[in-house]
Amino acid sequence: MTKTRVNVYAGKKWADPVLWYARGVAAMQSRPVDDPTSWRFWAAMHGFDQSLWETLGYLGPHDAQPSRAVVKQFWKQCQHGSWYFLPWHRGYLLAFERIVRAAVVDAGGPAGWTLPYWNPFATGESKLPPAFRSNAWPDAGDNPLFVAQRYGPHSDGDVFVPPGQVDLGALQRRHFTGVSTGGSPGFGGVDTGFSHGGPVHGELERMPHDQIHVLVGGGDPHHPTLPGLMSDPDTAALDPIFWLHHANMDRLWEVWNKSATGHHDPTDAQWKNGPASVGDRAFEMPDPDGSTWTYTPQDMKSVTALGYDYDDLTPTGSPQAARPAAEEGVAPVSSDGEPELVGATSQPIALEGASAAGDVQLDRTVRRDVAAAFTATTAATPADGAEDAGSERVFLNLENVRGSADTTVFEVYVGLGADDSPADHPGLLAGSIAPFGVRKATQPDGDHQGQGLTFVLDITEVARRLHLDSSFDVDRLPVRLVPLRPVRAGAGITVGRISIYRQAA
Amino acid sequence: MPETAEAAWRRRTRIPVLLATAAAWVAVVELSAWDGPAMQSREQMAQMAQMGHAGRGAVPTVALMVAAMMTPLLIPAARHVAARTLRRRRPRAISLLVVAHAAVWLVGGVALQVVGGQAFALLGPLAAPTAGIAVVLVWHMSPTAQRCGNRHHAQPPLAAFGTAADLDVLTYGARHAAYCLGACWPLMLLPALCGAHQLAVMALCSVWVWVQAQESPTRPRWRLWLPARPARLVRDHVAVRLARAG
Repeated sequence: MTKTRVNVYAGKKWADPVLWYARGVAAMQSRPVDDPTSWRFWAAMHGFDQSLWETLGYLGPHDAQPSRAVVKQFWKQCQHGSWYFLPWHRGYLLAFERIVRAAVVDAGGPAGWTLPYWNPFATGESKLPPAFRSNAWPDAGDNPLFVAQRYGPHSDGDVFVPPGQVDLGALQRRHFTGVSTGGSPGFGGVDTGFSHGGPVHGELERMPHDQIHVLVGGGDPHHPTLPGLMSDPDTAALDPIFWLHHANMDRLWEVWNKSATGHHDPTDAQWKNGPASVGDRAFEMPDPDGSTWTYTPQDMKSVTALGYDYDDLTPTGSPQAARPAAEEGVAPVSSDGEPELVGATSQPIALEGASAAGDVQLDRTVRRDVAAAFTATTAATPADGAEDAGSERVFLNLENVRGSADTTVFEVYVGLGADDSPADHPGLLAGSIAPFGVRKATQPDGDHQGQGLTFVLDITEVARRLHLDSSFDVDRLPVRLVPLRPVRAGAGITVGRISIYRQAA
Repeated sequence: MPETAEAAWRRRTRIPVLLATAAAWVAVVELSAWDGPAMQSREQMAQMAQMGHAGRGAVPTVALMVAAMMTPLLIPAARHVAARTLRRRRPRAISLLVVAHAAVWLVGGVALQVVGGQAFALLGPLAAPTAGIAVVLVWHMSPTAQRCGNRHHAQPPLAAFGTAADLDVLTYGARHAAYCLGACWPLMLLPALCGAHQLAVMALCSVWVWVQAQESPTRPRWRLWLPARPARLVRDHVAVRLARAG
């Protein structure tokens, strides 16, 4: 029988799906960390940093951790910066749902319980769902859905997702996968092996996934290096809202698959069979009965076959605002041209205070090629942001972004003069960046060898505007980074290089 | 079966590097066949070590050894340089990367050959390889080797224009080779300690180096390093076979 995941805002504050979720969470939270059905065990499967957990109070000297073999099998498994991002998290959610459901049934709840989702794009639903906002709940004791370490976009405890800071542009991408070499990384991410934190995130992963993580989590206003739980991959799954956020990302994957006939998942054997097929770790989850469930991306392709669906498959949750992608025919999973570097900054940029800026030096020949391509396709400017097949695309890369905390969201403007105010030039906004995972990526002996993350923004429309204004035909193109709130001195956020790439779609 | 753009990009970089590696192996085998008898004499090895060269000259020999053993490790670095460089500068940038990488390895390789020759002469054909294997095992369990291996995967930002671009690629190539040398030097030393079996040991060491380079970075600490990926592949293969047989 198909189980339907519903919008957390669909009913009253403590509607059954939320109340039973809270009771299931409470049961899991009461179990020790070495219990494979415990809350902390499941959070550590996403990511684990002993020092950070201890600092935040989630691990104490009396906690017995699982054996090394169990840790090696289950913990630190989440897939980021990879084309496995979506299928791994789908399996993670399904397995988690089974654990919670078992706890719900044990407590006398419905056997058909499903995880609700939070869609902050829906009108009036950008604020944290009400049941998560305070420590009060219908049962006795503390509300298990409330965590104090959830600070919001301004790190003041007001938790919401500012509509101007998120978008669903990723849903317009034709191809599931892309490249890590400067062009589009694709809707679902780059072809990798097992990737517990790859350097280039797929388009849905970067926006809105990363963005919502950091906007919700924020940073501790009293200890600037400490993140809100949601802001860091190693603590994110400790926050009960994590699971509703990811249910929405899972829903958006289904939205993308259904929104155009050309949208489909990879057919490559390595994607379908997962990283274990090439000797990497398998995707493995504990089941409530003590057994281990092993799955592959191929197993995750169809929500129907998996026995669940969503109450709404419009992107924003409101049919009037839904913006289906243009019919593009059957497109290959990945066929964009090879990206070509157009230019780059010459020095690293440190992000401190209210803004930071750098000039991208453009190569004259390649820049003219871009301009010529724009001139040739000016008449074919795509409407409403839909991706224009066959046209020139331009990408801004923020390479080797490093920092001591993941909490700084910043906007990126291209072509903004030194004396211009960003607010007066919304057309020059290239996008917004939330450096989810940057702390880990800065650790010298981590998965990224301290090289940081690389963010890729599609700036085709901005570049086209600059071209029409004759502002793209310059030797140096200014790029300005504007944080949502001023960055304290010494935060250590640096961008190794800002570069511009062209890519034929 | 369709190929992703990323896979196509990896393949385009991989093929020329593997061809160069294969050519180096052919040259090494040819040279070995010519030099074989000279490699078998303890006295001659001692003499060569004292002269500061191996075979007909340390540099060409070591250059071939480095090309045969270490060139595949350049694939990710070459990809990084190619992706982050202006197209018109790519041949120049890749050349500089190779030059810097080879220069560091040549210096290290010659030193290891000399040390290896002297150790072989001193310890003899049984004790020398035994000591070499012990050094390999201890070193590869050490946090320093892991730290070097981790750094070896680093992909720093590169300037795009002018002298700065050249210097960045040279620095990257030299650093990449230095960390590679730091992680793998005992595997480069071991063949020189194995006399007549040098070529076979070199082939084994190469496979070890290539397999180890596929492992993800991990926290440096003393640990028994095992080839986890190949081991998992073998385990899964056996499991499938057993399941079919059962």
